Amino acid sequence: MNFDALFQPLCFLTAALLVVIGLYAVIFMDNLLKKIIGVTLISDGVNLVLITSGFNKIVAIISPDMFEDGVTSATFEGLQEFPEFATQAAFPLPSALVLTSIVISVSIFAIMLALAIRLYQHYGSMSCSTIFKEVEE
Amino acid sequence: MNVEDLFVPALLVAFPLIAAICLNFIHGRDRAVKGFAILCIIIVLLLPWITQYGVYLFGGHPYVDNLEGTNIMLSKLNLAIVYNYGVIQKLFIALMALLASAAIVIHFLEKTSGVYAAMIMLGIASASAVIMADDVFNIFVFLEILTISQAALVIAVGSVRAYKTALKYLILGGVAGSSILLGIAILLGKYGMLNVSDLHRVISLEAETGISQALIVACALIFLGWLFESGMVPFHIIKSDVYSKARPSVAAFMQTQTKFILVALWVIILRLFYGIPTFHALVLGVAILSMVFGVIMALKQTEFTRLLAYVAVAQAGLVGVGLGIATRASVSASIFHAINDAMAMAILFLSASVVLQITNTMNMRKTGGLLWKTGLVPLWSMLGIFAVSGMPPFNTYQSEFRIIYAASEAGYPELTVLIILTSIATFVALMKGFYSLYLKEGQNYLKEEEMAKATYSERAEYLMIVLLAICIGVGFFPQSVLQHVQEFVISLGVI
Repeated sequence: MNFDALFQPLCFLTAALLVVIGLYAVIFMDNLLKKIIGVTLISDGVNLVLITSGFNKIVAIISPDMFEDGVTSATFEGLQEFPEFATQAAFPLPSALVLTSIVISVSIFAIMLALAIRLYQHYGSMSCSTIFKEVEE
Repeated sequence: MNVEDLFVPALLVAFPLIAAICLNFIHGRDRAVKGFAILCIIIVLLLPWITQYGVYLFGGHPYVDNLEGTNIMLSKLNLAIVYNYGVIQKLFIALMALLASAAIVIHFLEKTSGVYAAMIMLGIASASAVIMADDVFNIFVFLEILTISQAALVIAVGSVRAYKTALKYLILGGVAGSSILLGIAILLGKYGMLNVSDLHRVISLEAETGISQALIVACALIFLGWLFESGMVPFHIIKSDVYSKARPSVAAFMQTQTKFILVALWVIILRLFYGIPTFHALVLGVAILSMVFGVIMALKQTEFTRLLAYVAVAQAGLVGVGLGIATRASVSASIFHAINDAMAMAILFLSASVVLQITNTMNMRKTGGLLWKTGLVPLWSMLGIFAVSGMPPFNTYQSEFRIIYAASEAGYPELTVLIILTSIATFVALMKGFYSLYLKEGQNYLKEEEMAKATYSERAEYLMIVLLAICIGVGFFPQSVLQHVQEFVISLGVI
């Protein structure tokens, strides 16, 4: 069994699971902390999709001019001139993007946790049905 | 090297970002914060007018074929972050800067906070970046920063209700942001590029042979993010909640950001996905729903800022309607309306700011009798109501009339009726608010002795007068703005 061939589909599957679990937590769970964790799970799942697409060695930067000549990312063979480089290197752009995305997610996570702490101090509960039950005038 | 060469579009993003960081550092030192914030806002007000037009590659990388002296291949891609800066971008950013200055200056003598001013600066930087950027990931990053800054400005109010709203906004913002990022990941995986102009060329070529399913999924995901950022249905409730919980002067700034982000993101989505047949119908559908729900919700509100918030959502829906019709005339009218309505709504939010300073409440059951207590503010408010409702000679009349005409020309006569009805309902809702604030019998708080000594920020009133003057000026000379908008729409090349 070729594990390498399965690696990418398994990563996508894991990412999908993370997103689904995150959405479930955000929509259905009553605990505020679990909702916040759900948001981060969704974000992690999306980051995994990005990083996995970078693992695909045949995905490479192509230019619109090359695209006009019928070259797509799946058929791009420019890197085959450098076989050793092509077999070892991953597409670097998603790694840079994921790094930025993680920083943003952490910032949002920190603010959400700070707000959750404030609300817990006020209501003495993390239950959304308690915190958000007040009918606003 | 010429001095004017230094004023590149990147400065419009970089300067407010650096200012925000510095303001954070001097938080707590009142005099330093005041002085530095005033200095920053003056520079931010000036920058759009002195910045040079054109395309700017952040980092200065030109197109390259091969990296010299190596075997590494680099193709003809826009490898740098690209900013486009033209007249429309200038108008958007200049107007945002004006209202940001209001948000800082109006509350300046009440309470000084370095973090508060920093968040305003962060809001200007992020919205400016989204308006100018030609790179999908750059847009995602700054949309997230925008969400954080807007949530922080709501938190700055300091009430538990504001905390709850900010938390809800951040949770939904996190999901919407992830949705945009997933769409970008699909585009990157399929085409291997992030620059919008490059993607546009590639997708246009691919569309000749058919639309791929991956593209439709990417479109749906980014479209969801657009709905959140522009406060369209089903995110209209959280958006109006954010406007109503923030300080009214900040809400004036926020609704301006939202309308311009609505247009800027739509332009990006249009350039990428214009080949998808149901795209325009989808935009039109949610825009109509936002317009109708917004105005219906506004009619039943009992809190003035919330009423204004829903009117702002309805007006954003009206902008979306023109974009959804997607003819040159309708899109031009819509972008024109976004600029006009941002100014007109700001007048009303500023009037709410004055009222709040006196009454400490926005509950229309408790307010009243302010007609002779607030100088000429009721007059400016009434003119603001006329402006938002699209009455002549105000600028919104010019833009609404053009949207209606474009809808009629495009074969949507029923839509023209709906837009007119929405305008009437908007006027009724706003008049209800005006009556409750100014004309209704005075409530208990008016009988207290302190009421005679109550003061309000005259700076808000001055700004209302300036905005009204611009509204009337543009109303008389619409071509001064519309001509640039039309040129911008033609330059898009997809309508």
